[in-house]
Amino acid sequence: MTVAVTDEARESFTKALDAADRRVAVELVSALLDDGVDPLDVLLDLITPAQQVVGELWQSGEYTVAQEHAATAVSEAAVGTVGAWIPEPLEPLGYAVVACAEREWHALAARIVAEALRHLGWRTTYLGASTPAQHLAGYLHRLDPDVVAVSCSMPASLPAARRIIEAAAEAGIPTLAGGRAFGTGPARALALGASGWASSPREAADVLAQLRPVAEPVPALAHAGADEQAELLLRNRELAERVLTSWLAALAETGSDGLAGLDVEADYAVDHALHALAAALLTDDVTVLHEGRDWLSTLLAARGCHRDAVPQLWAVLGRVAGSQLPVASKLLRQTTS
Amino acid sequence: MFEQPVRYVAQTPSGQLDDSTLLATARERAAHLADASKQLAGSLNPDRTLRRALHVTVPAVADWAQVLLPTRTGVRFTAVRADERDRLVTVDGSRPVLGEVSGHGRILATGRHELMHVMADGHVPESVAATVPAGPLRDGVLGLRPADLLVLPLTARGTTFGTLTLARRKGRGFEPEDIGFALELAGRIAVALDTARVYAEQARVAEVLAASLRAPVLPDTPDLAVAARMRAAMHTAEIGGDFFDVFGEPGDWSVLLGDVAGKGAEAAILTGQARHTVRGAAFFDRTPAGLLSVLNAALFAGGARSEPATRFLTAVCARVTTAPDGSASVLIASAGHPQPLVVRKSGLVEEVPVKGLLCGALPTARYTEVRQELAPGDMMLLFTDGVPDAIGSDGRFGIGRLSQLASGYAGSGPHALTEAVDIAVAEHSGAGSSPTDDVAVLAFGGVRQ
Repeated sequence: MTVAVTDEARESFTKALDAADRRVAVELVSALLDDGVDPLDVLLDLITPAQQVVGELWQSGEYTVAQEHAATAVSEAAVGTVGAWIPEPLEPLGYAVVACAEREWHALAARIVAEALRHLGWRTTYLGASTPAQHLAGYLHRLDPDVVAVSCSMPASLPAARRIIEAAAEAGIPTLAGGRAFGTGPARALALGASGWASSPREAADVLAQLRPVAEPVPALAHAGADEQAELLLRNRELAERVLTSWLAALAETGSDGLAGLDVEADYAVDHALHALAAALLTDDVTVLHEGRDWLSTLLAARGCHRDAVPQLWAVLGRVAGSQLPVASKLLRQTTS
Repeated sequence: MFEQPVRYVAQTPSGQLDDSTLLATARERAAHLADASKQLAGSLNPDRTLRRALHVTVPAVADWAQVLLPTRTGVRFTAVRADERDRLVTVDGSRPVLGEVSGHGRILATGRHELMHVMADGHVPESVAATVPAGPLRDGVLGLRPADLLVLPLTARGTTFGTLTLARRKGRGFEPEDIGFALELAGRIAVALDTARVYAEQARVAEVLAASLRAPVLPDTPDLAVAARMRAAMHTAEIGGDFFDVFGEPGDWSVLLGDVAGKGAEAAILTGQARHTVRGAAFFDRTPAGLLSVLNAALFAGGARSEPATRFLTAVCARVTTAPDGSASVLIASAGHPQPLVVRKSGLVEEVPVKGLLCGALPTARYTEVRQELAPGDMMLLFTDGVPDAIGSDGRFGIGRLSQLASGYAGSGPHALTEAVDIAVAEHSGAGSSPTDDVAVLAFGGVRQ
């Protein structure tokens, strides 16, 4: 009965994404489902890996942002097709609301989680990209789910994920955290007060079954890093400008090729680095900053930037942001090597 | 079960009490009430609030607790035991006779608490039988015997609408100060439950009304790729003054996008009227100018122009004829609406020079149509003024920024384009701030057959 996703299907799907061809992608997915491929396999072994490649192609500079969005829109349509194929569970195991934190625009992963959970017997409501905590609270009064699953792919949205966790816990609803920004273990999720963490939609169903039905309000984050994160958030704009100016000046001194490849990405790089620092402070976890630095290094290298670009950025961050923020300064030193 | 020793919150120690012990007990009591109040106030959902009511009661003040609440047809008992805190047991029953001598009817009528006792021999007095229904709930209490039961009224805003029954095991009965504490807790639970009930009733009415005013699901248009995004300033209800609609038949589609003056529920009601008016008019004449004329005239129909400020709207209406090669011919008319953009596959972005008077201004307004050809891969982008007028830290979003963004998405399809505009506008407005105006964006382009 079980039919696996073939390499041939994967290749065809990747081609459909590359050509931004919705129809081919939707027809391919429909054919697989008709052939008896498990919807979960279509979601997790076909669409998810293909979409990961799309992200990597953007990171390596082979795709423009527009191409990435076009490919993602095709994946969305494919997920929609799988979703339409999955029947509503008659006797649901529970009810989950799946949300992306505010300014988390990578909504596809959350949607896949929502459909996967539905296939695994849960009733789900998917709230789409970027849901501010205030809006979530409104939904929760009305929907009263058994759990809120929050998805987070970029470190920039971890602070907003914390807000989601606070809002849910205040309403007495447990939270399940997942997504790349939460890393490869439960530490970050638990540091932010989530009731549980899952590494994949398949695992999510198991973790959900273990959660206690009533959550207590989460205590305020009291570690020194949390205070510094608040400070960083407050001064984000001013800091970003100062870091950008100093960074570009420092790179210009390294030689004629110092600013290569930075024309469009400089703002973005500074923004990303500051967000990674803020997220590391909030979760009290230096690995967030390590990941942010590695990610940025790959991104800038692919765009032909100077090899000193990231080390210089870290040095400037240490001078500008670290001068008044001792924990941030320590985290930056720990990730300089 | 129930072997482990239990100490209830703020349980008075036995024997001679000194001042410091009394003070510590009072502090503990106040702290628990404060924590319980915070938890009870956190949700406005009745079911969730009920669960939390039991959560703050067991095992803190009792080994077993039961809440009786009215339902539409009878009553519902919900109970939980200290050794199975996460398992709520629910039993439905019929409404107690108000004013009966014992049981809930008595409490509901008098609004006063009552203390009773279950003997060790398993004999169930009539008063207990009337309080805890036979079955899993009564078994739960009998598991504790001998036990003391305290039935408390749930009274809020002048009405006793339910009861909270607490059970404690042998020797742990309810001292007068325990009863006072339990009454305080029950009072807080009652107010929270009543607030949640009122909110739920209001929310249900609002939800039913809002559902009819929300953006429609786009029809299946195999020959025309269409995508739309909408963000309401009043986000939670997902309704606002912007609206769109797509209807017609393969090869010949009508697209409507508009913006009613004003925001929130009042504006949303007019958007519903606008959509229905255009749909109705389309049965007779689907020309864009004709549809806008009817929409305009409808705003003047009847004498009930009681709120003139909300009776204006701007709209664009397009009729799209598709061809098998993926091209499309668009006939478009505008009623005072921001000019749409054409996003050529090459990256060139052009404004569509279409103009007209806004609807609701002049009963005799006439609308002119402009024809625009879309080659395969070209898109037309319709949007409301919430897009260019979005205010960020560096000024308005503006048509310039929109054109530049759209140019980068040339050839990537309406879904990617509308998503990009939606994200860019939200990012421009900044985090934490809801959009100050409703935002709607819709794009379409032909699909090769």
